[in-house]
Amino acid sequence: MSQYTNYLSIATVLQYVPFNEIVINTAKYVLTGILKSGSIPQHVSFIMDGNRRYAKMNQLELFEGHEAGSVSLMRIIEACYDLGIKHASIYAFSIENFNRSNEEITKLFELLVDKLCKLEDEKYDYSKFLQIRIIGNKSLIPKETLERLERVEENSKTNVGGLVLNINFCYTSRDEIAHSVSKTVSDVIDQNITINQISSEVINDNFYFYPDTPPVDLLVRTSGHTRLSDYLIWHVNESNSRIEFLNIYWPDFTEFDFYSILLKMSYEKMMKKGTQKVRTLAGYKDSHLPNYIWDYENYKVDDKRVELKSLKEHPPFVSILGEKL
Amino acid sequence: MTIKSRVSIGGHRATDVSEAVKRKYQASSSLKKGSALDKLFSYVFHLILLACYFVYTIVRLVQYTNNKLRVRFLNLAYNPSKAPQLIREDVSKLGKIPKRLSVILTLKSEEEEGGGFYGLLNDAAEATTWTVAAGIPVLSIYEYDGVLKNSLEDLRISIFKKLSDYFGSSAVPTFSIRVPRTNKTYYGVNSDEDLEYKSGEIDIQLTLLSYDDGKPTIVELTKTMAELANKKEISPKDISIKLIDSELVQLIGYEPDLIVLFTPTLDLQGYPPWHIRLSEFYWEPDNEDVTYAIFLRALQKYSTCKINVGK
Repeated sequence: MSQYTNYLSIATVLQYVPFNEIVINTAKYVLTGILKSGSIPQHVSFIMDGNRRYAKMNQLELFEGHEAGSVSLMRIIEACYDLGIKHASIYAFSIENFNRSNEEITKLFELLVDKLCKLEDEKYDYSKFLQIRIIGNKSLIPKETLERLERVEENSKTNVGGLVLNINFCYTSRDEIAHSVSKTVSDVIDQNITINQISSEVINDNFYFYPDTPPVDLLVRTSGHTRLSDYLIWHVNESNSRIEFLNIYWPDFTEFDFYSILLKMSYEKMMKKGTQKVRTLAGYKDSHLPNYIWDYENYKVDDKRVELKSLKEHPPFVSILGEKL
Repeated sequence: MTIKSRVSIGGHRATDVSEAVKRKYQASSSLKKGSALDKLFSYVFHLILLACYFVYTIVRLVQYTNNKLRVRFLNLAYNPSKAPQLIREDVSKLGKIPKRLSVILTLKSEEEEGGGFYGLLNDAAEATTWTVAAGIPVLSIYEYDGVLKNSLEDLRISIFKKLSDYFGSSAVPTFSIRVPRTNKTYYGVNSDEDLEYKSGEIDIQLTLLSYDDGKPTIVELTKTMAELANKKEISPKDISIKLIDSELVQLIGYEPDLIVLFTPTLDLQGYPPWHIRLSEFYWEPDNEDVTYAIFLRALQKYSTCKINVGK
């Protein structure tokens, strides 16, 4: 978590350098080249958290915070493409976000559709390399928004070989798992598969994500929260996925922060080569322990007596849902 | 003033990204043709990458030493001295605590300090004792291979002895150990037949989790649902988050509020995915030791975390 500050300060210093844009673009070009010569993840994902707090901190309107976040997103998409990353996923709108005010939801939808429609515009060259996929529970998306999103999705379908941008919209991971389980059961009823063929891979293939989506190598969450908020819980719970929680707001997240994470990943991958631990449990109990360790009947600690109920009152229980228990 | 000009990211202004991408695309198209110069560039870049690795090795060494020293200092500063009163004193200063706690433990090699099978038992027993002293009634222990599940009798003895060390032999708190999927619960060190023990208030309910309780359980649940669907007892349309959640709560338990990883990195090791929806994570970089200082810091962090589901 600490490395990013170095890059951030470099970027801050760069603004005082004459012709800083040229310097920054050259730095980006060189860093991209360096990183590409090592190991690059195939699938990266982002929880773009902190737009509203960024707006508050910079005395901007709430909506302007989201707008600033979208600028940051475009930079990261560009960096992903330059680096040759195949898939990028973003948590654009959670099903839980329907808890927000109607005004904010409407503006968020407008912003997303507006940005995506811009990608369709012929004067931009995004269309040549960016394939957009809307990943989520489409039955929850308002009809008009859905039609426009599907049009963008359809138009970019033929862009293969570049970057696939998975937009997780009206998405939560639990909803995706439930959808996959339901679809798998349907497949069994329709005799497409047998019960014995059901496996973790089958569940994977039936997710909202397309079956050709590679496993998630990296999940980045900004804003300092250290939880997944129902995003990719199935995809990042194994040891081969990396989760990075950064203590900065999404609009402040730059390519340089991203490069720093990728450098760490590349370094660790290089260090792991040839030193993979082989899990072996054979003889884990043969620790030649003396027998008295297992003797509990004669084990007496008589010099103290602390009743659990006599201890001070503990603070209230508060669950992750904010409920006092 | 437009947003784009007002937003300054990392010190440099947001440029017209679309235009930049356009330029990049054209540049990359011409580069694709490949030339000796490109090859030379790629060699140079790789050499610089190796130099970066070298520098990063030194940076990591400094970080590692710093992290280890910090954890050592914390361990000295927060020592429970086998006194539940001290633990409760520390915890009572917090604004809130989780009701359901989970810890991720690993079976370390015998050669490591505090490693081996006995080390793992000791870690599990200590975590249980701190949890009960903190006033938290529910704890799940995740160990990838299920070593603890397969060594229940040894674990029961270890917990009993550790609780005796802290509370004294005459005031050992009551505990139960549940093994998911087998639907079996074990009481105290040898109180499975003791009705009075079982019907009384259990001070700490322990659940032992392993990799099999994660994705493999969801796969098994899907198979069961498919069997029911074949018998027309359930329709795919009935399968919802609510239904799966109720089944998994019954099979595995509730999702924990806080997961403390006693691992050097945030490595979930296949932890049941359904159960990490909103859980807070805590880990101390480069730390592998199961110590009270880490346990307490995790609770301190939980007490300050803001809860705002979807908002």
